[in-house]
This record gives sequence, structure tokens and C-alpha cells, in this order.
Amino acid sequence: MKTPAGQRRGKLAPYLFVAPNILLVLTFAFYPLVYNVVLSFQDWRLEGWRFAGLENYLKLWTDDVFWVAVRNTIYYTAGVVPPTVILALAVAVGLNRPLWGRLAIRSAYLLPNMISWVVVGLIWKWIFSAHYGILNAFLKTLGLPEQMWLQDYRLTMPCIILASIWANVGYYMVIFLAGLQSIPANFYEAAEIDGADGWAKFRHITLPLLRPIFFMVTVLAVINSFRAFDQIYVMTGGGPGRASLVLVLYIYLSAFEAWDLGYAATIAVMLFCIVFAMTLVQKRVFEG
Amino acid sequence: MNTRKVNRLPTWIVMTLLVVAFLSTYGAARTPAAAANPVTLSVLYYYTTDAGKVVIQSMLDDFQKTNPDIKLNVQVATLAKLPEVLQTRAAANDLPDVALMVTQRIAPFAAAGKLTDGTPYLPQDFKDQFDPSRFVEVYIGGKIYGSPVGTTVRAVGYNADYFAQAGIKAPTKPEDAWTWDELVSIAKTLKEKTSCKYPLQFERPSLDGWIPFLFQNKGALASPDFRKAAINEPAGVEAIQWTMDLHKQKLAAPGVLEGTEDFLALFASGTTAIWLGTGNHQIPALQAQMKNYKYGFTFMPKGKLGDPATVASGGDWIVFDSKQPKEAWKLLEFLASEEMTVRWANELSSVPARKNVKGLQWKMRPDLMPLFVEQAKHMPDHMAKEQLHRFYGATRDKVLQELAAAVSGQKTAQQAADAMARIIEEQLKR
Repeated sequence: MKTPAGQRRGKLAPYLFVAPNILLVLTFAFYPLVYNVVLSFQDWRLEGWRFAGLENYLKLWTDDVFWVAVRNTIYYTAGVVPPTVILALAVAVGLNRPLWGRLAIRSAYLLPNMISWVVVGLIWKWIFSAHYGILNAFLKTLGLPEQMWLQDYRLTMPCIILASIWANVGYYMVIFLAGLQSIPANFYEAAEIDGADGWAKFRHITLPLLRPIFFMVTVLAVINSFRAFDQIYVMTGGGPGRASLVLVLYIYLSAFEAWDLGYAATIAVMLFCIVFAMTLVQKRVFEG
Repeated sequence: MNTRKVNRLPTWIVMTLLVVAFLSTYGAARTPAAAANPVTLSVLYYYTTDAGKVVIQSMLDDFQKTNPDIKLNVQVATLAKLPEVLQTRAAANDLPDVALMVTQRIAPFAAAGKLTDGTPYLPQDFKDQFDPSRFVEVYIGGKIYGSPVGTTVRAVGYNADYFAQAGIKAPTKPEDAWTWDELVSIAKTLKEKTSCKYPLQFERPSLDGWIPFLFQNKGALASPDFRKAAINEPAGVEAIQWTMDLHKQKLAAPGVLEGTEDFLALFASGTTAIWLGTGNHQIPALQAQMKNYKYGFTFMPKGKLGDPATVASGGDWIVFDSKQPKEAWKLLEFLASEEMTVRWANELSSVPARKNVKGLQWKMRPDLMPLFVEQAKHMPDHMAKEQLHRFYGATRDKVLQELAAAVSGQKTAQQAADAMARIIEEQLKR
């Protein structure tokens, strides 16, 4: 039987175990978050900073470039998330059965997600190169006209979206696979006995039981889309003009090229609010 | 022995080890790196080519050998990353002691009081040893903040094999430089008679490479008194329109100003025939990569200005607000010495920023260097002042984005010019 002192020590032990990690999270996640909000109320310059109140927020409302970045980010998210989620689910369903080479195929889908986003951007930048890209070379062999993929502002974002879908599908496929494998097989057996075909089983068993996973994948995909930066920076730098400028890239450019840290922090706060609001909306939709 | 104590002992050992490991890592991170050395200087430099990195590092290594009591803690960044590195270090109050900076970023630091005046540490005639048009970059308000290094002069590179094929001779004197109409006519000839896909290309996505064309058309970014923008006046709009027309007529390669294509690969592979706005700084890269064609350089074209206006600038070594100013200026004086200037010029095909240097023997394409020396004399005064004004460094990337928007068809020339003017005036008012 434990003594009172022993009981106290027992209760303390778990906290001591997680203490280092909590310290890290507080130092590298929570503190920067709070400091970012504080910075958004400052006009930060090389000479020093001054309290700017709501100046940065007011500037945001009249900043055309900010609204272009918001529009592009929403365009990017709407272009990436649905196809990625649907494709990931379709591939997971397809690979959740005995197939020759199933492991190799799963690995092939997952591989693009294993490489750095910078490398993804470089690969696709070369594929889409108007002068040296294999895509235009392929079009040429078919007798079709070459396209100015990344230079044509109408095609820039679709090209980036395609690259992102290619890199993302494998990651969400793995999550869906885990969800599919947690569905008891006897549900499908019972449905077969009742005469349900493949589509009926998918609609009435798989989808409902995957609902929580679906919600999680969609939320993750939306949050990750709003955070997109590396491949866009490498492929186009936000150009041509501002055709592919997204919010995180605008934060980077404001902070490190225009040297306006306070304004960059303000955009970051707005991004947080947008993502938070979208997550709440998604939660309502899925709960409904 | 009490069984309970034995069972709990490993738990306490593990917990203690974890906490100690965490604290020692944290403590080590806080220990100043300089604690073991009497004097440590933090040095930051940028590079644009591998050859440049090798040369700069060799200069720093030589300083170390001759000054073993001063340790150099060196950080290297690409040109593209330099603003990010500087901004991060400025925000952390951890600026280096000595840095190689781009000219356009010096004025804001000087205005913010972040640089050290070298006058007490330098010989009295230090200023007089340099080309005044370059030294003005580091001589602000009567104070010396650093020294210029080799000068990059922008001109026009061309594929010599294509020129021979098309029967075109490049001008060898500034008074014979092409007009804009002649340049377009030559471009069309090259397109007909050679296998180049596009006869022209602009420099990398850099406003510095395009600005000469603005001035050749008698335009400017800002008014002479720097009270308002001038880019949206007719001369500026015309220059933007001219650039757009070259792309629309498929004379200029797309993707270069927009930053989506490899500008060096385009020229080195023979995809393009004329490289507008490039300069001597690309010679090391061209020597390494342009293996299938010969290349040459000629003067910038003349526009309405009647003069082949260009930009001639380069990096500058500067001393930040150092806690070891004596040692920092000792390093800077070494890096700015005649010996180091000559090494920089010879190895990197650069025009020295020093006057009357001896021992100049450019290793790569010495035949081209007299052209750059002559071309450097054609930098308009107002362009030089704009380059040094604090608005330029803060706006040039945004202004370039507007140019790319016009070239890619998203905006008209007037719309782009008006957007550029708004960007410039916002900074002029700060």
C-alpha cells in the first residue's frame, strides 16, 4: 500500500516525464504564437519599433495584394483538397484488397510524400518548363502546340495544384487505409448475405464508418493547403506577377523582402483566424 | 532491501537523466561561442557563383593565417537568401561584425544607426583610393561605413556563333551602340537565320537588369527630388510597353523576368541569342557552362537618351555596429586592400572598385574586360542616386512583380506603371 508521500510522487511522475516536451512546445510553439500577435500591433523597423495599434490591421483591409493572396489561397485549397481527398480514398479502397504487388504500389504512392516539398517544386518546375520540360516535349511529339505552363498566369495555379496533388495523395491514402482496415469484415459479410453489391457496401458501410477519418483528412488537407509555401516559392516565387501568390508566401515576402515584420505578423494572425474559422465550419458540416 | 524502492529506482534514474540531458542541451545552446577565444568576429557574406564563394573564402582564410589572434565565425548565404538572413539577425539583435552587402540594403542600415563609422580606424587617404562613383555607396553623411568590392557592369551578351551565322557584327564602341529599333531588327534577323528559339532574353528576375532600359528611354523610377514616383510618366510606360511588345512578338524568351526559367541555361544552350542586361559577373558561369557556343559582349543599346545607359554596381564590405570595431575594421581594410581587390578582379572577371591597381590579369576573357571598363562610364547620375536611396531596396522586388504581371499579360503597361508608382510612393513617404 502506498504512503501519502508515495502517492504524491506517483502523481508527479507523469508530469515530470512530459515536462521537457511541454517546455519545448511552450518555447517553440506557444511563445512565438503569442509574440506574433504582439508583433502585429507594432510598426517594426530597423531603427526599432513603435506601438502601432490597429494600423497594420487597417492597412490589411486596403491592401490589394493581401486580397489577391487570399483569393489565390482559396483557389489553391479548392483545387487541391477535393481531388486529393477523393483520389486518396479511391486509391486506399483499391489497395485495401489482396493484390499482387500491393506493398510496392502503396510505397509508390507514398514516395512523393517522403521527399521534400522543395524537391517536389524543382521536379515539377522542370516538367513544366516551357523550353526544356518533358510535358512540352510530349505535346510536340503529338503535334500539339507547346504551352507556357508556369508563365501563363491562367495555367500557373493549375500546374502548382497538380504538383501538390501528386505529392499529397500518398499521405492521406495511408490514413484512409488505416481507417478502412479498422472496419470489421463481418459488416461486409453481412451485407453480402443481404445481396449488397460493391457500390452499396461502399455507400452504406464504408463511407459512414469512415466519417471521422474523412473529417480528419479534410481538416488536415485544408490546413496544409493554407500553409502551402515551399513548392510555390520554388516553382514560381508567387509569380508571374502575383498569379500564384498565396498567404504564407506573402507573409514571407513582407517579413524578409519588404522588412515589415509587424505587417507580416498581422497577415499571419489573419491566416490563423481564417483557418480556425474554416475548421469550425467543417466541424459543423461533418457533425450535421 | 525494500522491494518498492528497488522498483521505483529505475524510474527516478530515467527521469533524472532526461531532465539533465534537457538542461545541458539548453545550457550549451546559451554558452557564447566566443567564450574560448579572445576576439571573434562574425562575418556574413553572400555569393552569386561558386567561383565567388571560393574567392571570398580564400580571402578570409588568408586573413586568418596572418591574424591568428582573431577568429572568424563565417556565415554564408546565397544572394536570394541574404535579405532573410539579415532581417532575422537584425530582429535577433545579432548582426554580424563585417558583412558583404548588396548596395541597395546599406542605406536603411545606415539610417537606422546600425553601422560603424570607420574614419577613426582607417588611413586618412582611404576614401581617395577608390572610384568615387562606387565609394559613394559606403560614404554616407560624411562617414565611412565600408568599402566597395569589384564592380559588376551590365551590358549585352551575345552568342558569337549565331552572330557569325547571321552576318551581324556587334558594336565595339559606345557611340556605335544599337538603337532600340536596330536591336529589334537584329533580333528578327537572328530568328530568321539561326536556330535560336528566341533571339532575346532579359537578365534574371532582377529590377537591376531592367532599369537601364527605363533610363535609356529617358525614364526613371522617382522624380529628381525623390518626392514622387516617375515610373508612371510616359517614358516609363513606354519602356514597360516596349518590354511587353518584345515578349508578345516572341522575340524575348518568356519566363526570365517572371522567374520561372533558368536564364543561364537558356543562353548557354543556344535557346536565345542575345542576353540583355547581363554583365561581367556572369563570365565565370558562362566559361563553365557555355561549351557548345562562343559568346561575346557588346554595349547596351541607346534609346531616346542617345547613350548606352547601364547600371554599374556591386557588393560592398561593411562594418556593422561591432563590439570589436578595431578588429572589424582591420578585417575590412584587409579585404579592401589592393592585393585582395586584384585577386577578386582577376578570379571573378570584375572591374576593380579601386583606382590605379597594379597586377590586373583577368583570368577569364581578358579580351572583354576593356568593354566593361568603358561601359561602366555610362551610368546616369540619377540612376546611381536611385540605387542608393532607401526606397530602392525596399521596393525593387515588388516593382519587378508588377513588370512581370505586365509581361505575362495580366496588366496593361499603364496599370503596371501605376501600381509601381503606388509602391514607390509608399516608401518615399516613410
